[in-house]
This record gives sequence, structure tokens and C-alpha cells, in this order.
Amino acid sequence: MAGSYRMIEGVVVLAAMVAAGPVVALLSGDVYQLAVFERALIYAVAAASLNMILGFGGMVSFGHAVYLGIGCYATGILANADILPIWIQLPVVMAASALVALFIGLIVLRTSGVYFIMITLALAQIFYYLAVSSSYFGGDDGMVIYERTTLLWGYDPFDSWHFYFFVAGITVLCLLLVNHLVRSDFGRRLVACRENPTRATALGFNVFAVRLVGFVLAGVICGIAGFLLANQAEFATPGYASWQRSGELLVIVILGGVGTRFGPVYGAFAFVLLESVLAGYTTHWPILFGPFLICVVMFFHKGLAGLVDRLIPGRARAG
Amino acid sequence: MSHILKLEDISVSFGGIHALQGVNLQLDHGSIHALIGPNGAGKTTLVSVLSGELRPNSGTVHFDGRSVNGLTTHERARLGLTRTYQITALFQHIAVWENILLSLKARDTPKVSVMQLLRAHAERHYAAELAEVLKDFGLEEKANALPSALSHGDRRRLELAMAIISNPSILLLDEPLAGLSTSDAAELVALIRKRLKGDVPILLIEHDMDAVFDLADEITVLVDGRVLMTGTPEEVRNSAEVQAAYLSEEDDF
Repeated sequence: MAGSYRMIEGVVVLAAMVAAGPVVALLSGDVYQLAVFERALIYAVAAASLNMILGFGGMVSFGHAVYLGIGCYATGILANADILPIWIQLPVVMAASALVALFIGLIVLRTSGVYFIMITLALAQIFYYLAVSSSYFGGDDGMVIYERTTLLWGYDPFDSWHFYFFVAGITVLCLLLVNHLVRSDFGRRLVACRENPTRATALGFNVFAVRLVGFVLAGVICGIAGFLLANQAEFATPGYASWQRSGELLVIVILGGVGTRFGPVYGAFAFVLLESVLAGYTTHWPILFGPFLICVVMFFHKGLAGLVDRLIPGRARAG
Repeated sequence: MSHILKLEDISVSFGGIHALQGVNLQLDHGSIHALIGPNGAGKTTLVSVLSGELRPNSGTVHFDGRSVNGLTTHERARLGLTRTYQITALFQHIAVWENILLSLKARDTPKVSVMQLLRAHAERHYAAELAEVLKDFGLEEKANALPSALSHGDRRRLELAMAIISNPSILLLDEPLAGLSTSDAAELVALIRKRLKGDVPILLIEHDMDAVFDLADEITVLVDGRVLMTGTPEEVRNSAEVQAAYLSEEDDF
């Protein structure tokens, strides 16, 4: 019973997530609305990867956006060199993010608590300033990406509908992957290492290795989000790897519900949609968003995911 | 009897405090060796040195004929050096059955592997063993509870279960009976005897003197970081030195 409920819930959430953009675009007759939802989907992937190490691994990374930047620049550099097929671009993006995550992970995983947060931030800033100072890749001004990734014959990357479903398809695959990982044998070991590292070590788990694998996997998945972002924005800027962006990802995870299955999806949609609506009224939209975030955190256990759980009749409250 | 664990001249100091000074200790196959001593004598420090959580300033830990000084805690755990904690150390936000399942998995596949990324967690493979462990340790009805919701006795039982089912080659028990009633303690001792295969040696740290004299084959008395004496329960009981240093203190309670 529980298993089939989980499956129905998963199908409903993912279907609603994919359908939201097209429904709005068709109703408003404005195909450019799709772009807003593409951004929400991309943020959902990035936030889901952060949720994996934050919610399940207990690792508060304050530099997670660095992989958005890595994925974005890797894609942009390949695209501008006219290397467009996805089966070349995506493996390169994944390998690049994995290497950076490995480098960062090997350093930060020797620390914990506040030090972990600060050092992830510091290391991410190194890559941010690398991008800022690299005049070859546009430096502070960023880099225009002239071509989008190609997939198969018949796929037109510059057709709004084609491209939307390209983003949505990869998003669904990434979310399913994250969901699988946290429920896998490995995922449970990751939780064990969060819950009681002393005991996990005494049982024979190598806590450092388990965390490092989780950290690198999260980096790779966030790199894929960067790959999508490069295609969507047709632009790569150091700003994608900035600490503000890392902060936004944390906000999305916390808003959606830390350690919940679909929290990152709820959080990303709430964040991007509110941003695009509120920004229409005022450039000081964070003044309105801040109190909203505080209310959600104060009144709903487990963020928006907790709220959704409460709204579904007959569903036992989690936790 | 051959020894499986041998401590040679172990010294540990924290700043100016000498927690352990030149401690020698030997654990034989099939024996229960109790470590007693007043509070602050260095008993838990010794267990931490054995498990690798603490590096001694000098001295060597020999396990099965070789030095394990260079091995980390998880590497020693994989060799079967299993410990329990004085203050129960459980996975607090994970159900009882999953605590046990994690221990079974640590026993069989401690290393990270690609298979773990592909495979689901709740394997049918362990269902029978899991049910048996829950039954043996009287945790059947609490299988779905969180450790934080368990009584103190049940937590002790779970702590012990996780150690014993990991198939130890040496079991280090740090005050397993602390805070238990006499009947609960007796039940737990019976469980240890039942579940543990023949000649797995136990290093037992315990304040309950009745239990110590009842269970131990050999007793080492630790006072102020030094070994006062090692001997049979009878010898220890009759030693005037031990009486003076330790047992008389117990009478004050």
C-alpha cells in the first residue's frame, strides 16, 4: 500500500511539474512563459542535488552553485567551439563537475559544522573569481553562448516547445535519479553517517568515503542543472557560481522542506514564480519574499512539502 | 590459551593529565576479561585506544599477532574489533529495524561500492535474519519505533544487538549494564552468552561488581591510569590493595 501510494504521489507531482509550463503558456497564449518554467525546472534539479547532501547527508554546502557555474561554462565553451551533440557535452559537463566536487570534497569533508559551511563558501568563491578574471571567457561580463545542444534529428533546440520538453525530460530523469539514490543502499548509509558518525565508524563504515561519494554525486547532478541553464540562458556568467546563488539554492531547499522527496520541486517553483511575479511590481521583491520564507519555516514542519502533506486528506503527517 | 589482543605499554596523556601509564593487558580466546577501577581510572580511554578513536602517545596494540596502531577506527571495526558505548550511540531518527539492518550490512559489505548506488535498501535478503534478531533481543514490537522513543533498557538491548550481530572477533563492552535493573541486567547477560559464538573474547567494563565477579574469567584493576593487578576474580576479591583502592569506595554507595 505504502509503496503504491509513493508511486502515485511521484507520478502526480512530476506530471504536474512538467505540465504547469505548457498549461500557462497555452492559456495565456504567450509561449515565452515557458522560459519561466524552464528556470523553475533547472532550479529544481540543482536544489534536489543540494537536498541530497543537505537533507540526507547533513552537509550544509554554502557553495553548491559552483557546479551550476562549472556546468554552464563547460557547456558554453564546447558550444562555442561548435561541439554540440549532447553525448559529448553532457559527459564532459559531468566529468568537470565531478572533478571540482572531488577537489572541494577532499578538503571540506575533513571539517564539520560552521567550518564546513565557511570552507565550501570559500572554495566556491575561488572558482567564482577564476571566472571573473578569465578574460578569455568574458570575465565579469560573461560569455554569450551562440548554439544550443543538439539531440537527434527532428529536435530543434531553438523551438520553444521542443526545448521546453528537452529541459523537462532531463529534469524528470535527474529527479528520479536523486530519489533513487536517497532510497538506495548507499543513501541509507549516507543517512547513517549523518545520524551518528561515531557509531557508523564503529560499525565499519568509512564515513569520509560515504560522504565524499554523496558530495561528488550531488556536484555532478548540479552540473547537469548548469548544462541546462547554459542552454536556457544562452549565456554563462560568473554570477551563476556566486555565493548569492548558493544562498538561493539553500533557500529553495529550506522553503521546500529539507530532506523531503519533492521539497526541492515545490521550493524551486515557489521561488521562481514568486520572483517573476513580485519582480513585476518592485525590484525590491526580496522584501516580500523574506517574510514569506520565514512564515513557511515557522508554521510548516518540513516546509512546503509538509504543507502539501497536511493538505492531502488521510495522509499521516510526516515526522 | 592463545591471546588475540595484546596491549603493550600503552600511555595516553591529555595535556598534563596521564590518563593511562604503561598499561599492559592481554585478552585470550574464549575469555571474558573485566576491566574495573574507580571513576576516572582510564577504563573508557583504554577502550577508545583499542577501537582506534584515540591514538596512544606510546605503546602498541596487537590484534591477532600484528600491530593495528596504524589502522583507523573503521578499519579495525572491519577486522571485528567491535565496541559498544557507555552512552548508547544509536541512529536516533531511524527505526529500530533499520538500525539493525545497517549493522548487518556493515558486517557484510562495509566498503562503498557501485552496487550500493544501484541496489534498493530494504533487501529481502536480510528479512529472516532481521526478524530473528528482533525476536532474540525482544524488540519485535518496537521494530518500527525510533530509538528516541525506547526505554533505557530497550536502548541498551538495541546497542548490544548491533554490536553482537556484526560478527565480532572481539567485543568491547563499555558498561553495558549501566542503569539497568538487576533482572534486566541478568537477562542481558544471558543474551550475550546465547548470541555470541563460542570463543569470542569479551573485554567488559562494568561497575556492577556482582556481574563482574559472576561473568569474568579474569579481572584487571585499573587505578589512576595504571594496572594495579590482573588476576582471577578470587585473587582480585582477596587482594588487600584492591580492597583499599576500589572496593571500599563502592561501599560508600
